Amino acid sequence: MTAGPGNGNGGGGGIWGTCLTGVGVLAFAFLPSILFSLSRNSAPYWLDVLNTVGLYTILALSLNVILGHAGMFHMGHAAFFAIGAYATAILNTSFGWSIMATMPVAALAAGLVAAVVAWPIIHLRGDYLLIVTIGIVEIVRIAITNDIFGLTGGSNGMYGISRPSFFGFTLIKPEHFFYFIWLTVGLTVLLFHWLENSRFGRALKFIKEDTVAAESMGVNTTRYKLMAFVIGAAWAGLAGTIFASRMKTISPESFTFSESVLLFTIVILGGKGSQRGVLLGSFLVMGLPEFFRGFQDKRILVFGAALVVMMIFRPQGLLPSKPSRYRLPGTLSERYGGQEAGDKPPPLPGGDGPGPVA
Amino acid sequence: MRILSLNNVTKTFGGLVAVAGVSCGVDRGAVVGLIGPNGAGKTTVFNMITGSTRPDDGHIFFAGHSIRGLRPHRIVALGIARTFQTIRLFPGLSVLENVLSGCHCRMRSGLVSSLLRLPGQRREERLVIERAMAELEFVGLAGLWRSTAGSLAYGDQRRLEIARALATEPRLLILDEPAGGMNEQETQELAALVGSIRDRDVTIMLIEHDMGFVMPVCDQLLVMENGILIAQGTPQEIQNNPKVVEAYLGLDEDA
Amino acid sequence: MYDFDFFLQQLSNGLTRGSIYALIALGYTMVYGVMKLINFAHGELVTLGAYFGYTLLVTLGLGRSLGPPLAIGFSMVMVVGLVALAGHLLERVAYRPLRHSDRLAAVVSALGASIFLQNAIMLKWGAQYRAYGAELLPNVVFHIGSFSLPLVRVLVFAAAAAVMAALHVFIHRTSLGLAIRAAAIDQGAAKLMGIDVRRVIALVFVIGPALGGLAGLLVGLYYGQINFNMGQIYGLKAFTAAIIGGIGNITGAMVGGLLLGLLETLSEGYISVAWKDAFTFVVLIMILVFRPTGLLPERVAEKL
Repeated sequence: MTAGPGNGNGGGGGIWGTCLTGVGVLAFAFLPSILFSLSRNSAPYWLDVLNTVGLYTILALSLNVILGHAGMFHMGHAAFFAIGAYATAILNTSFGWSIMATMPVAALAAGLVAAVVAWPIIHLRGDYLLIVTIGIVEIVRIAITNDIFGLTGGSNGMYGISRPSFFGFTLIKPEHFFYFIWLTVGLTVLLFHWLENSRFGRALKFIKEDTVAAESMGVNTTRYKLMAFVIGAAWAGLAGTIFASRMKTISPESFTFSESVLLFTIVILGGKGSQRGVLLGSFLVMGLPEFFRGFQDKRILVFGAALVVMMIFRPQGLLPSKPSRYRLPGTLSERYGGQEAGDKPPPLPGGDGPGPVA
Repeated sequence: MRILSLNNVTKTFGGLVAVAGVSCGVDRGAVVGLIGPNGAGKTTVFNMITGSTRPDDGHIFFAGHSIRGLRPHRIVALGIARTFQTIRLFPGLSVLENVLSGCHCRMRSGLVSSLLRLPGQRREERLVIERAMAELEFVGLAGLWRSTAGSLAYGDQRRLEIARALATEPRLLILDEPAGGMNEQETQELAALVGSIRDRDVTIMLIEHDMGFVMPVCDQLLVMENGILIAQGTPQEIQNNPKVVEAYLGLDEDA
Repeated sequence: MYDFDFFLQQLSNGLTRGSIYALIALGYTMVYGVMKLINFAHGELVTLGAYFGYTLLVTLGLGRSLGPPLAIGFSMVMVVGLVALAGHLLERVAYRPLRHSDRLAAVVSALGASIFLQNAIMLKWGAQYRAYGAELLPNVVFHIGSFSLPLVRVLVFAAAAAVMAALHVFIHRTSLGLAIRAAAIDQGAAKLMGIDVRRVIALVFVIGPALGGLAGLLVGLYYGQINFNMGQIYGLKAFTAAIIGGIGNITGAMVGGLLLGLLETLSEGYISVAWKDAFTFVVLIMILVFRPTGLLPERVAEKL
């Protein structure tokens, strides 16, 4: 018997939800084979699209901790993505480190920079924080464009980054990266789901609801906001490692304000604080436009208009976050009702177990 | 034994003196009422004790610690909890989660054990839910643990705020107008609740205008007017104090 | 090279550029003051102003047929009117339905509108730079000692200053201006006092874009060339200026704009062109660290 929220089979339709998720994950795992059997020529292209979606999912999930859970308006996430990517590129090309060895350093570097820059600004009110984070992403972009410390290669970027390898097996083809990226997505979903439903995650929730009340109930609001910022940034740094090794070449234009806006949009469009929402958002923002290549230059125009329309009809996002589920231990559950039966059950459809839910 | 003492505590807001050199003490185990007309500076005193407002001058000691200028979460950790004059629950969260916010400061799970859901973290989660339910049972809201806090009746919200504050395991509980907006029956239940909180060895300070509530519940009364402490004593003494009658009770006779 | 004349050059350039930033910042700050919404599409309205001006002065050749003073005066009026109309439509379509929704939803809607407008402009006028043409304005340069001041600088600054002075009078001396200020301080109370908040919102969404459109035209005249994504950078700069001044504060936006212009030209002149934007943002962050709500903050009180 476990206490604590979100343990798989609670709630109406939970078992079906879990089964469906399982089937979905399984089907997803065979996707490369399915794509190749459909068309050998276009499969690599679609796998690349899926890989991009996956990478942005990791980034958006990490932004979700800051923007969705802690409620901090952060529109400069590409800065930490950039720091991770450049940390990997520099350590790999100049110092010969293997890609996987650079990953923790990339995360650490991004987290460290986040801690330093966020320290003095973490208390700023919503929109002031927004402009400051935009400022941060611009400062980082300008710094790498100007070849800071002679390390970043200026506007030309950096070339010749290696591929990641595990026990002698090197990831080269899109299908290799597909598993690498989507397993990382799965891991991210799982860890952040646990984090969300813990003392840490609850503290962020209290801060988002009412910072003054949270502080008065004993939550060190500054510390938790800062930690959320650092965790999100470090995870974006880790995504930077994957990005650098996948592209082999990186340059400043991959890490602009517009990239940050895209990530921000994914989180809000999907439903801030909701992992399922963020997953859906990534597919819609990064994947769906690929189906409309026929429209060519009008694609982005339509994308902009679609954002307006979707926000008008679903201002809370497409799959908004659901209340956390708690299960009472043993006797308490008999006395006051478990999650299943009760006087006022909150609306709780479907399972929210880890893994992509289509 | 003194649990809390204020020494010449002063606060001005942009030239307006809200609290002027208040000195007083609270004995452990007592129920102390802070009364006075609106704008007397009562809530400002509470805000300074709980750390939401920083005093300009003076000292505040709690159980041997100087707490002046500490941030609210530090003061909660030392053992002072509060409720708000205008209810300040987390209205979108469940009743249980609201109480869990009070448990936060007595928990230990950190970032890593939460991220990896280590066994110690899961054990603590289970214990803390039991602990929160115990506080809900104490105030009589356990049956509503799943409801959204914002959907509760007004009186229930007040009691939930008390449960949330009790979950921080306070030695001193500060209630800012706990009976505000309550009907006759709810006020009587509240008086009984205050009594049973005191039986848990929790010292209580409260602001309240309803004299029918204050007089029987409190052992000690502090009376403020225009930022100054004008009298203190037992309810009996205060009732017969001509200065108080003139300043406050006389005006509020039929309230 | 770093003599006093050089300093004066940077100063006059900074004031001119700053006056353009200030015009744009006013649009951000007025909308924010009343709606607490960052109008991310405001930069695109500036671009729109620049392209309407281009169409009138260059494509339709008004510059040649009417002569410079009349052509510029006429196109200013037209641009202000057209962009005000566009701003009004923007509010109706993208923001009004979200007035009572989550603030972040409105932010994303604004971002969507910005993306839409930017691409619409690109599809209509093309992705390449467009030149206003040197012959639009007579190439007059005033000489004061060894310091030279081009006419265009005077013209841009004078136009911006005149419009801002008029706005200042409007905001502080008329009852409509009072309504705007009241709605900015407390929408609910303003409503109780009989102010039609919807009308106030509609009004700021006409004035703000009008100023932005004018700024776009001035950019075209001052720098001679325009581009479909110029709005993004001008928007960001002006938004920064509004924040520096204290967003929601109209005087603050003017002060912030001028300060930002000076800061940029001085750091270009004395520090580094490549790093000037980074320098700007560092200063912004420093200001906010020490004054978390800008230099001239709007008045707000938090009650416990």
